[in-house]
Amino acid sequence: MSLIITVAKSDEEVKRALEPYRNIVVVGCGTCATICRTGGEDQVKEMVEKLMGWGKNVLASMVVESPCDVRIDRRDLRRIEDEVKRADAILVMSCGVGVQAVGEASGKKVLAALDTIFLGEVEHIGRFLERCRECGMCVLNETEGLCPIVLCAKGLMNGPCEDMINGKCGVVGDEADCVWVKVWERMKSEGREEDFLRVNPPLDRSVKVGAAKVVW
Amino acid sequence: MLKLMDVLGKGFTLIGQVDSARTVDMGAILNAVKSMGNVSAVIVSEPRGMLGVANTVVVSGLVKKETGKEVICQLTCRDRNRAALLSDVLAAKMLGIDSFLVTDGGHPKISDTPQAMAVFDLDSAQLVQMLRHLSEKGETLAGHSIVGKLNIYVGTMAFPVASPIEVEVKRLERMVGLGLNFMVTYPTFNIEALNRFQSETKRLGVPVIVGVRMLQDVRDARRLNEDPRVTVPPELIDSLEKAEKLRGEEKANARLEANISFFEGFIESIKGKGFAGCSIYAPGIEQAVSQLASRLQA
Repeated sequence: MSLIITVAKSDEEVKRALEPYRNIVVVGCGTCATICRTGGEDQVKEMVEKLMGWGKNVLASMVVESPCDVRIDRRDLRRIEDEVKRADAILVMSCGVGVQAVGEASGKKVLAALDTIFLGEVEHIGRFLERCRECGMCVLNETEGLCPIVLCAKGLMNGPCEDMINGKCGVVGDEADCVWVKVWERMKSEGREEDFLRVNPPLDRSVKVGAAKVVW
Repeated sequence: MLKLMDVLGKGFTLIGQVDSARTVDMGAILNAVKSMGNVSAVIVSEPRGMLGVANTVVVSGLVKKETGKEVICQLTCRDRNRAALLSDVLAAKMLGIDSFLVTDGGHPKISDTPQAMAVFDLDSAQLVQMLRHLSEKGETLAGHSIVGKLNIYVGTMAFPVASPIEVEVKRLERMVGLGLNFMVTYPTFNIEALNRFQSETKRLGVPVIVGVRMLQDVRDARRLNEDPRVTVPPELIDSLEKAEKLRGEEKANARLEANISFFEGFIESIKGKGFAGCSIYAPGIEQAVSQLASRLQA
């Protein structure tokens, strides 16, 4: 399962965003942010305590099953309809999609408690790895199933580059393999060295302009 | 006068390299080039790890205009998309520049302006492709035609000390297939690696210019040594260290001499090994280039 990986914003930043507001509703996420331990039951509870400590009036808090789904937001928020109505702002502990969907469902001012950082592969809970940047033009068929847009610091389509050091990425550091060395190794292990000579064409940046939409 | 690209690979050519700078004054750059003496061409490059220097195209044009020297202009994919790169190439041609040293460019993250967006709309292979397309078909990659004729020479940086080297050689082979005219090696002091590189890339049939990096002083040498791919030979560090004990002009002369005598030996030992020449980068001590050149001719 792939997850939208989030990390908590600093207290300072959340406090600053909440400054003009007193009556707050806190909404967590029962899916990705629960697994990331950034917006599950425990983190929502901690946030409520923190807000009270900052002198805020917390009207209600709840973990919505999937705040990224407007239908579920509407259904779940109905349970705290009065509190939402009276709230000055809803603090949402989910990815950016969830924050905006809660805003859409509630018609209220929404604030983000988290930073959304990537779409991740789960190695185990607490170890999430970025593997896809949702570019809309998947190149995995050309690159041995390894995404250079994410795994190469420069997103090069024809690497490696001058910053490759002993098979590692000199930009990211020793913990990151140079993806182009990996691509080479995969081709070599199958006796397809000549495939490395193929030039991948420039990407079509017009594929994704503005907010993407898929409508059936 | 024969153009550099016509003579490259027929004999051993000495060229110089000068960095653009974060400046509005061409004086220092021109003086640096002038003090290099009679080099066959000058590479105008971007200082590594520094973002936002005077555009290398404009600096190249001014160097050519003011010194009459042939210029190879470095172009990186780091901060310009394909349209901006095309603009620069067309403008370069108007300034009489037609040789480019194409590189991906260092990532902003490891530069002095890490917050900047890393562009890399094209990579160096795709940029070579774009330049060849312009030169041969008079068209952009998108198929738009160009008014006027461009006759472009394209080179790239090669990394003889890259590990694993086989990937680097394959990368260069890919570039050669796109119509690469020359390669300049990333400066190394490792003659063994250079010879190995030469034997592995000879079959590609593209002139290889060996990059040489002179050292301002012993601190410069130690800074360079921080790159795990670089080992400054201890004898060069020793003679630079000895220079530190002197004062004023004596110290400056001893530093120059340390470089000149080391690189005289270095270049003599790679001459006749199939390399097309040397590109000498001597930031801040460009007069050493001309002194070394006359020593080599003697």
